[in-house]
Amino acid sequence: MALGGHQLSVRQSQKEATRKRVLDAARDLFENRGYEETTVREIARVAGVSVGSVFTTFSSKGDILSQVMADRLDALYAELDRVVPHLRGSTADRLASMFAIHYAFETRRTKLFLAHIAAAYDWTLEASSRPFGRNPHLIQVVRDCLADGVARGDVDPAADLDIVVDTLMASYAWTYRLAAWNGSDAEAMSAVFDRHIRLICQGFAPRQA
Amino acid sequence: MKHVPGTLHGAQEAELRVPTRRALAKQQTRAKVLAAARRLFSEAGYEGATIRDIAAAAGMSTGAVFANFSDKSDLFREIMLADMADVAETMREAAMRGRNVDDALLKAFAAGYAFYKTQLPLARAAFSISWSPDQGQELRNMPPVQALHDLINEQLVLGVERGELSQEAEVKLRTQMLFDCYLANYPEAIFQGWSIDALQAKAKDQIRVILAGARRG
Repeated sequence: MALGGHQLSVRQSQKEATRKRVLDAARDLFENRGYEETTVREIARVAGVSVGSVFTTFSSKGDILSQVMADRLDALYAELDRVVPHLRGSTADRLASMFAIHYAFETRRTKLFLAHIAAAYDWTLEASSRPFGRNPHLIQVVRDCLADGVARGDVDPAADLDIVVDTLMASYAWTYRLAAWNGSDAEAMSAVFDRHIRLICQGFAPRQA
Repeated sequence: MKHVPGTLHGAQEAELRVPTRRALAKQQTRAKVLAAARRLFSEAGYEGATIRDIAAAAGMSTGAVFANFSDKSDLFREIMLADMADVAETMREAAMRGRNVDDALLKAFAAGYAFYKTQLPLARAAFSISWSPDQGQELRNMPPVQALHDLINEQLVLGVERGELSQEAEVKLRTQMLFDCYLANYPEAIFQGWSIDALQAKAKDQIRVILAGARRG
Protein backbone atom coordinates (compact mmCIF):
# COMPACT_ATOMS: atom_id res chain seq x y z
CA MET A 1 0.00 0.00 0.00
CA ALA A 2 1.95 2.97 -1.29
CA LEU A 3 1.32 6.25 0.48
CA GLY A 4 1.50 9.68 -1.10
CA GLY A 5 5.15 10.39 -0.40
CA HIS A 6 8.07 9.05 1.57
CA GLN A 7 8.04 12.06 3.90
CA LEU A 8 4.40 11.58 4.74
CA SER A 9 4.59 7.86 5.31
CA VAL A 10 7.53 8.20 7.72
CA ARG A 11 5.77 10.87 9.68
CA GLN A 12 2.58 8.86 9.55
CA SER A 13 4.18 5.70 10.90
CA GLN A 14 6.02 7.65 13.58
CA LYS A 15 2.78 9.12 14.71
CA GLU A 16 1.18 5.69 14.71
CA ALA A 17 4.06 4.27 16.77
CA THR A 18 3.74 7.07 19.33
CA ARG A 19 0.03 6.50 19.53
CA LYS A 20 0.49 2.81 20.19
CA ARG A 21 3.20 3.37 22.80
CA VAL A 22 1.01 5.90 24.63
CA LEU A 23 -2.02 3.61 24.59
CA ASP A 24 -0.02 0.61 25.86
CA ALA A 25 1.52 2.64 28.67
CA ALA A 26 -1.82 4.18 29.60
CA ARG A 27 -3.61 0.84 29.67
CA ASP A 28 -1.09 -0.63 32.08
CA LEU A 29 -0.99 2.43 34.32
CA PHE A 30 -4.79 2.77 34.46
CA GLU A 31 -5.12 -0.89 35.32
CA ASN A 32 -2.32 -1.12 37.87
CA ARG A 33 -2.41 2.28 39.49
CA GLY A 34 -5.91 3.49 38.71
CA TYR A 35 -7.26 6.10 36.33
CA GLU A 36 -7.55 8.98 38.80
CA GLU A 37 -4.06 8.37 40.15
CA THR A 38 -2.38 8.34 36.75
CA THR A 39 -1.20 11.62 35.19
CA VAL A 40 -0.57 12.32 31.50
CA ARG A 41 3.02 13.13 32.50
CA GLU A 42 3.51 9.59 33.81
CA ILE A 43 1.93 8.09 30.73
CA ALA A 44 4.39 10.06 28.60
CA ARG A 45 7.35 8.95 30.75
CA VAL A 46 6.44 5.25 30.63
CA ALA A 47 5.76 5.48 26.89
CA GLY A 48 9.11 7.20 26.38
CA VAL A 49 7.65 10.21 24.58
CA SER A 50 7.26 13.88 25.46
CA VAL A 51 4.13 15.24 27.11
CA GLY A 52 3.76 17.52 24.10
CA SER A 53 3.63 14.67 21.64
CA VAL A 54 0.95 12.94 23.75
CA PHE A 55 -1.17 16.03 23.35
CA THR A 56 -0.68 16.21 19.60
CA THR A 57 -2.48 12.86 19.37
CA PHE A 58 -4.92 12.98 22.28
CA SER A 59 -6.88 15.88 23.67
CA SER A 60 -7.02 14.70 27.31
CA LYS A 61 -6.55 11.80 29.71
CA GLY A 62 -10.23 10.98 29.20
CA ASP A 63 -9.63 10.82 25.47
CA ILE A 64 -6.73 8.37 26.00
CA LEU A 65 -8.94 6.17 28.18
CA SER A 66 -11.73 6.09 25.63
CA GLN A 67 -9.23 5.12 22.90
CA VAL A 68 -7.81 2.34 25.09
CA MET A 69 -11.35 1.03 25.56
CA ALA A 70 -12.28 1.40 21.88
CA ASP A 71 -9.24 -0.70 20.89
CA ARG A 72 -10.25 -3.34 23.42
CA LEU A 73 -13.76 -3.40 21.99
CA ASP A 74 -12.39 -4.47 18.61
CA ALA A 75 -10.85 -7.56 20.22
CA LEU A 76 -14.06 -8.28 22.13
CA TYR A 77 -16.17 -8.01 19.00
CA ALA A 78 -13.85 -10.35 17.13
CA GLU A 79 -14.32 -12.90 19.92
CA LEU A 80 -18.08 -12.42 19.89
CA ASP A 81 -18.31 -12.85 16.12
CA ARG A 82 -16.23 -16.01 16.32
CA VAL A 83 -18.52 -17.60 18.94
CA VAL A 84 -22.01 -16.48 17.88
CA PRO A 85 -22.37 -18.73 14.79
CA HIS A 86 -21.70 -21.77 16.99
CA LEU A 87 -24.32 -21.01 19.64
CA ARG A 88 -27.11 -23.55 20.03
CA GLY A 89 -30.15 -23.97 22.24
CA SER A 90 -32.92 -21.60 23.29
CA THR A 91 -32.81 -17.84 22.85
CA ALA A 92 -32.20 -17.48 26.59
CA ASP A 93 -29.21 -19.84 26.41
CA ARG A 94 -27.73 -18.01 23.45
CA LEU A 95 -28.16 -14.61 25.09
CA ALA A 96 -26.58 -15.95 28.28
CA SER A 97 -23.48 -17.03 26.31
CA MET A 98 -23.15 -13.66 24.57
CA PHE A 99 -23.27 -11.68 27.76
CA ALA A 100 -21.02 -14.15 29.58
CA ILE A 101 -18.34 -13.44 26.95
CA HIS A 102 -18.61 -9.76 27.80
CA TYR A 103 -18.33 -10.26 31.54
CA ALA A 104 -15.37 -12.60 31.08
CA PHE A 105 -13.62 -10.18 28.76
CA GLU A 106 -14.08 -7.05 30.87
CA THR A 107 -13.08 -8.70 34.14
CA ARG A 108 -9.66 -9.49 32.68
CA ARG A 109 -8.99 -5.85 33.48
CA THR A 110 -11.65 -4.96 36.00
CA LYS A 111 -10.04 -1.79 37.31
CA LEU A 112 -9.64 -0.40 33.83
CA PHE A 113 -13.22 -1.18 32.95
CA LEU A 114 -14.64 0.37 36.10
CA ALA A 115 -12.58 3.50 35.46
CA HIS A 116 -14.16 3.59 32.03
CA ILE A 117 -17.66 3.42 33.48
CA ALA A 118 -16.91 6.12 36.06
CA ALA A 119 -15.31 8.31 33.37
CA ALA A 120 -18.45 8.04 31.28
CA TYR A 121 -19.91 10.50 33.80
CA ASP A 122 -16.81 12.67 33.73
CA TRP A 123 -17.01 16.36 33.01
CA THR A 124 -13.98 16.59 30.82
CA LEU A 125 -14.83 13.80 28.41
CA GLU A 126 -15.49 15.13 24.91
CA ALA A 127 -18.51 14.16 22.87
CA SER A 128 -16.17 12.26 20.53
CA SER A 129 -15.16 9.89 23.33
CA ARG A 130 -17.20 6.75 23.35
CA PRO A 131 -19.26 6.69 26.53
CA PHE A 132 -19.85 3.45 28.33
CA GLY A 133 -23.11 1.71 27.53
CA ARG A 134 -23.25 2.60 23.86
CA ASN A 135 -22.19 -0.72 22.49
CA PRO A 136 -23.75 -0.82 19.02
CA HIS A 137 -22.23 -4.11 17.96
CA LEU A 138 -23.51 -5.99 21.02
CA ILE A 139 -26.92 -4.36 20.60
CA GLN A 140 -27.07 -5.55 17.00
CA VAL A 141 -25.98 -9.11 17.81
CA VAL A 142 -28.52 -9.38 20.64
CA ARG A 143 -31.25 -7.99 18.44
CA ASP A 144 -30.40 -10.48 15.69
CA CYS A 145 -30.53 -13.31 18.21
CA LEU A 146 -34.02 -12.25 19.30
CA ALA A 147 -35.18 -11.93 15.70
CA ASP A 148 -33.86 -15.44 15.02
CA GLY A 149 -35.78 -16.51 18.13
CA VAL A 150 -39.00 -15.44 16.44
CA ALA A 151 -38.05 -17.71 13.53
CA ARG A 152 -37.07 -20.54 15.91
CA GLY A 153 -40.41 -20.15 17.64
CA ASP A 154 -39.39 -19.27 21.20
CA VAL A 155 -39.91 -15.51 20.88
CA ASP A 156 -43.40 -14.09 20.52
CA PRO A 157 -43.62 -12.34 17.12
CA ALA A 158 -45.61 -9.58 18.82
CA ALA A 159 -42.74 -8.73 21.22
CA ASP A 160 -41.18 -5.31 20.78
CA LEU A 161 -37.58 -6.40 20.25
CA ASP A 162 -35.99 -2.96 20.61
CA ILE A 163 -37.46 -2.55 24.06
CA VAL A 164 -36.37 -6.04 25.06
CA VAL A 165 -32.83 -5.24 23.88
CA ASP A 166 -32.89 -1.96 25.76
CA THR A 167 -34.01 -3.61 28.99
CA LEU A 168 -31.39 -6.33 28.65
CA MET A 169 -28.66 -3.74 28.08
CA ALA A 170 -29.71 -1.73 31.15
CA SER A 171 -29.62 -4.83 33.34
CA TYR A 172 -26.35 -5.98 31.81
CA ALA A 173 -24.62 -2.66 32.47
CA TRP A 174 -25.78 -2.32 36.04
CA THR A 175 -24.79 -5.87 36.92
CA TYR A 176 -21.20 -4.55 36.73
CA ARG A 177 -21.89 -2.87 40.05
CA LEU A 178 -21.25 -6.30 41.56
CA ALA A 179 -17.67 -6.05 40.34
CA ALA A 180 -17.35 -2.49 41.63
CA TRP A 181 -18.89 -3.01 45.04
CA ASN A 182 -18.44 -6.66 45.88
CA GLY A 183 -15.41 -7.56 43.80
CA SER A 184 -17.49 -10.21 42.01
CA ASP A 185 -15.85 -12.13 39.17
CA ALA A 186 -17.24 -12.82 35.71
CA GLU A 187 -18.77 -16.10 36.73
CA ALA A 188 -20.71 -14.55 39.61
CA MET A 189 -22.00 -11.73 37.40
CA SER A 190 -23.00 -14.13 34.64
CA ALA A 191 -24.89 -16.26 37.17
CA VAL A 192 -26.86 -13.21 38.32
CA PHE A 193 -27.47 -11.98 34.81
CA ASP A 194 -28.61 -15.41 33.59
CA ARG A 195 -31.54 -15.08 35.99
CA HIS A 196 -32.35 -11.65 34.53
CA ILE A 197 -32.27 -13.08 31.02
CA ARG A 198 -34.49 -15.99 31.98
CA LEU A 199 -37.01 -13.66 33.58
CA ILE A 200 -37.14 -11.36 30.56
CA CYS A 201 -37.47 -14.35 28.22
CA GLN A 202 -40.49 -15.58 30.18
CA GLY A 203 -42.15 -12.33 29.24
CA PHE A 204 -41.81 -12.85 25.48
CA ALA A 205 -42.34 -16.61 25.32
CA PRO A 206 -45.08 -17.29 22.75
CA ARG A 207 -48.46 -17.82 24.36
CA GLN A 208 -49.66 -21.40 24.37
CA ALA A 209 -52.85 -21.78 22.37
CA MET B 1 -47.97 9.91 54.62
CA LYS B 2 -47.18 13.55 55.18
CA HIS B 3 -45.13 14.35 58.21
CA VAL B 4 -46.92 17.15 59.98
CA PRO B 5 -44.82 18.58 62.77
CA GLY B 6 -46.70 18.08 66.00
CA THR B 7 -47.29 20.89 68.44
CA LEU B 8 -45.58 20.56 71.75
CA HIS B 9 -47.29 21.32 75.00
CA GLY B 10 -46.42 21.77 78.62
CA ALA B 11 -43.67 19.55 79.93
CA GLN B 12 -42.58 18.55 76.45
CA GLU B 13 -42.03 22.15 75.52
CA ALA B 14 -40.00 22.81 78.65
CA GLU B 15 -37.75 19.89 77.80
CA LEU B 16 -37.04 21.26 74.37
CA ARG B 17 -33.52 22.63 74.44
CA VAL B 18 -33.17 26.13 73.09
CA PRO B 19 -30.13 26.08 70.81
CA THR B 20 -27.28 28.19 72.07
CA ARG B 21 -25.95 31.03 69.96
CA ARG B 22 -22.86 29.01 69.35
CA ALA B 23 -24.83 26.04 68.05
CA LEU B 24 -26.84 28.35 65.81
CA ALA B 25 -23.69 29.90 64.39
CA LYS B 26 -22.31 26.46 63.70
CA GLN B 27 -25.50 25.49 61.93
CA GLN B 28 -25.32 28.59 59.77
CA THR B 29 -21.72 27.85 58.88
CA ARG B 30 -22.62 24.31 57.86
CA ALA B 31 -25.51 25.54 55.72
CA LYS B 32 -23.25 28.09 54.04
CA VAL B 33 -20.58 25.49 53.28
CA LEU B 34 -23.17 23.03 51.94
CA ALA B 35 -24.70 25.65 49.65
CA ALA B 36 -21.29 26.61 48.27
CA ALA B 37 -20.30 22.96 47.86
CA ARG B 38 -23.50 22.16 46.02
CA ARG B 39 -22.85 24.97 43.58
CA LEU B 40 -19.22 24.03 42.98
CA PHE B 41 -19.90 20.30 42.58
CA SER B 42 -22.52 21.26 39.98
CA GLU B 43 -20.14 23.56 38.13
CA ALA B 44 -16.88 21.67 38.33
CA GLY B 45 -17.82 18.09 39.13
CA TYR B 46 -16.68 16.12 42.14
CA GLU B 47 -13.03 15.94 41.08
CA GLY B 48 -12.90 19.54 39.92
CA ALA B 49 -14.20 21.12 43.12
CA THR B 50 -11.58 21.55 45.87
CA ILE B 51 -12.15 22.26 49.55
CA ARG B 52 -10.18 25.46 49.03
CA ASP B 53 -12.60 26.65 46.33
CA ILE B 54 -15.59 25.66 48.40
CA ALA B 55 -14.24 27.57 51.42
CA ALA B 56 -13.58 30.63 49.28
CA ALA B 57 -17.06 30.49 47.77
CA ALA B 58 -18.57 30.23 51.25
CA GLY B 59 -16.45 33.18 52.36
CA MET B 60 -14.51 31.34 55.05
CA SER B 61 -11.21 29.64 55.71
CA THR B 62 -10.47 26.02 54.81
CA GLY B 63 -9.97 25.50 58.57
CA ALA B 64 -13.56 26.52 59.21
CA VAL B 65 -14.75 24.02 56.58
CA PHE B 66 -12.72 21.23 58.14
CA ALA B 67 -14.15 22.07 61.55
CA ASN B 68 -17.53 20.97 60.18
CA PHE B 69 -16.73 18.30 57.62
CA SER B 70 -13.96 15.73 57.70
CA ASP B 71 -13.23 15.83 53.96
CA LYS B 72 -14.67 16.41 50.51
CA SER B 73 -16.40 13.04 50.35
CA ASP B 74 -18.08 13.81 53.68
CA LEU B 75 -19.44 17.05 52.18
CA PHE B 76 -20.66 15.35 49.04
CA ARG B 77 -22.28 12.54 51.02
CA GLU B 78 -24.18 15.06 53.14
CA ILE B 79 -25.56 16.77 50.03
CA MET B 80 -26.53 13.50 48.35
CA LEU B 81 -28.12 12.19 51.52
CA ALA B 82 -30.38 15.24 51.78
CA ASP B 83 -31.34 15.10 48.09
CA MET B 84 -31.97 11.39 48.03
CA ALA B 85 -34.11 11.51 51.16
CA ASP B 86 -36.22 14.21 49.47
CA VAL B 87 -36.52 12.30 46.23
CA ALA B 88 -37.37 9.02 47.95
CA GLU B 89 -40.23 10.76 49.76
CA THR B 90 -41.47 12.41 46.54
CA MET B 91 -41.35 9.09 44.70
CA ARG B 92 -43.27 7.37 47.46
CA GLU B 93 -46.03 9.96 47.33
CA ALA B 94 -46.17 9.65 43.54
CA ALA B 95 -46.43 5.85 43.70
CA MET B 96 -49.45 6.11 45.97
CA ARG B 97 -51.36 7.87 43.19
CA GLY B 98 -50.80 4.93 40.82
CA ARG B 99 -53.83 3.11 39.43
CA ASN B 100 -52.06 -0.26 39.21
CA VAL B 101 -48.60 -1.69 39.66
CA ASP B 102 -47.27 -0.43 36.29
CA ASP B 103 -48.70 3.00 36.82
CA ALA B 104 -47.44 3.28 40.40
CA LEU B 105 -43.89 2.39 39.35
CA LEU B 106 -44.03 4.73 36.40
CA LYS B 107 -45.29 7.63 38.51
CA ALA B 108 -42.53 7.00 41.04
CA PHE B 109 -39.82 6.88 38.37
CA ALA B 110 -41.15 9.99 36.65
CA ALA B 111 -41.06 11.85 39.98
CA GLY B 112 -37.42 10.81 40.38
CA TYR B 113 -36.50 11.99 36.89
CA ALA B 114 -38.31 15.28 37.41
CA PHE B 115 -36.38 15.88 40.63
CA TYR B 116 -32.94 15.20 39.20
CA LYS B 117 -33.66 16.90 35.90
CA THR B 118 -33.15 20.16 37.76
CA GLN B 119 -29.72 19.11 39.04
CA LEU B 120 -28.19 16.87 36.44
CA PRO B 121 -24.59 17.94 37.08
CA LEU B 122 -24.89 16.75 40.68
CA ALA B 123 -26.52 13.50 39.58
CA ARG B 124 -23.68 13.05 37.15
CA ALA B 125 -21.09 13.45 39.90
CA ALA B 126 -23.00 10.99 42.08
CA PHE B 127 -23.10 8.38 39.34
CA SER B 128 -19.39 8.77 38.72
CA ILE B 129 -18.63 8.28 42.41
CA SER B 130 -21.03 5.35 42.71
CA TRP B 131 -18.70 3.36 40.45
CA SER B 132 -15.61 3.96 42.50
CA PRO B 133 -14.71 0.90 44.57
CA ASP B 134 -14.14 2.80 47.82
CA GLN B 135 -17.02 5.27 47.81
CA GLY B 136 -19.57 3.38 45.74
CA GLN B 137 -20.47 0.91 48.44
CA GLU B 138 -21.06 3.70 50.89
CA LEU B 139 -23.35 5.56 48.52
CA ARG B 140 -25.31 2.43 47.82
CA ASN B 141 -25.87 1.67 51.48
CA MET B 142 -27.28 5.09 52.31
CA PRO B 143 -30.76 4.77 53.81
CA PRO B 144 -32.57 6.69 51.02
CA VAL B 145 -31.18 4.30 48.40
CA GLN B 146 -32.52 1.41 50.42
CA ALA B 147 -35.84 3.26 50.74
CA LEU B 148 -36.12 3.43 46.95
CA HIS B 149 -35.42 -0.26 46.69
CA ASP B 150 -38.08 -0.93 49.34
CA LEU B 151 -40.56 1.26 47.49
CA ILE B 152 -40.27 -0.80 44.30
CA ASN B 153 -40.46 -3.98 46.31
CA GLU B 154 -43.62 -2.86 48.12
CA GLN B 155 -45.35 -1.92 44.88
CA LEU B 156 -44.66 -5.36 43.44
CA VAL B 157 -45.94 -7.05 46.60
CA LEU B 158 -49.11 -4.95 46.37
CA GLY B 159 -49.42 -6.00 42.73
CA VAL B 160 -49.28 -9.65 43.79
CA GLU B 161 -51.82 -9.07 46.56
CA ARG B 162 -54.22 -7.36 44.15
CA GLY B 163 -53.83 -10.25 41.72
CA GLU B 164 -52.20 -8.15 39.00
CA LEU B 165 -49.05 -10.24 39.22
CA SER B 166 -48.83 -13.97 39.78
CA GLN B 167 -47.83 -15.46 43.13
CA GLU B 168 -44.55 -16.64 41.66
CA ALA B 169 -43.58 -13.14 40.53
CA GLU B 170 -39.97 -13.34 41.82
CA VAL B 171 -40.42 -9.98 43.48
CA LYS B 172 -36.83 -9.65 44.67
CA LEU B 173 -35.28 -10.20 41.27
CA ARG B 174 -37.79 -7.95 39.55
CA THR B 175 -37.18 -5.23 42.12
CA GLN B 176 -33.49 -5.26 41.28
CA MET B 177 -34.12 -5.19 37.55
CA LEU B 178 -36.57 -2.31 37.81
CA PHE B 179 -34.09 -0.41 39.96
CA ASP B 180 -31.36 -1.06 37.36
CA CYS B 181 -33.54 0.27 34.55
CA TYR B 182 -34.54 3.32 36.55
CA LEU B 183 -30.88 4.21 37.01
CA ALA B 184 -29.77 3.16 33.54
CA ASN B 185 -31.96 5.84 31.96
CA TYR B 186 -30.10 8.69 33.64
CA PRO B 187 -27.30 8.88 31.06
CA GLU B 188 -29.92 9.73 28.43
CA ALA B 189 -31.08 12.60 30.60
CA ILE B 190 -27.57 13.73 31.44
CA PHE B 191 -25.86 13.47 28.08
CA GLN B 192 -28.62 13.63 25.51
CA GLY B 193 -30.93 16.03 27.24
CA TRP B 194 -33.93 13.73 27.09
CA SER B 195 -37.16 15.29 28.28
CA ILE B 196 -39.08 13.87 31.20
CA ASP B 197 -41.72 12.67 28.74
CA ALA B 198 -39.13 10.73 26.75
CA LEU B 199 -37.66 9.19 29.89
CA GLN B 200 -41.11 8.27 31.07
CA ALA B 201 -42.02 6.64 27.76
CA LYS B 202 -38.88 4.52 27.91
CA ALA B 203 -39.41 3.56 31.56
CA LYS B 204 -42.99 2.59 30.77
CA ASP B 205 -41.82 0.13 28.12
CA GLN B 206 -39.12 -1.27 30.40
CA ILE B 207 -41.59 -1.81 33.23
CA ARG B 208 -43.87 -3.64 30.82
CA VAL B 209 -41.04 -5.93 29.63
CA ILE B 210 -39.89 -6.73 33.17
CA LEU B 211 -43.39 -7.45 34.45
CA ALA B 212 -44.60 -9.32 31.36
CA GLY B 213 -43.53 -12.75 32.60
CA ALA B 214 -45.26 -12.21 35.94
CA ARG B 215 -48.64 -11.60 34.37
CA ARG B 216 -49.00 -15.07 32.93
CA GLY B 217 -50.54 -17.40 35.41
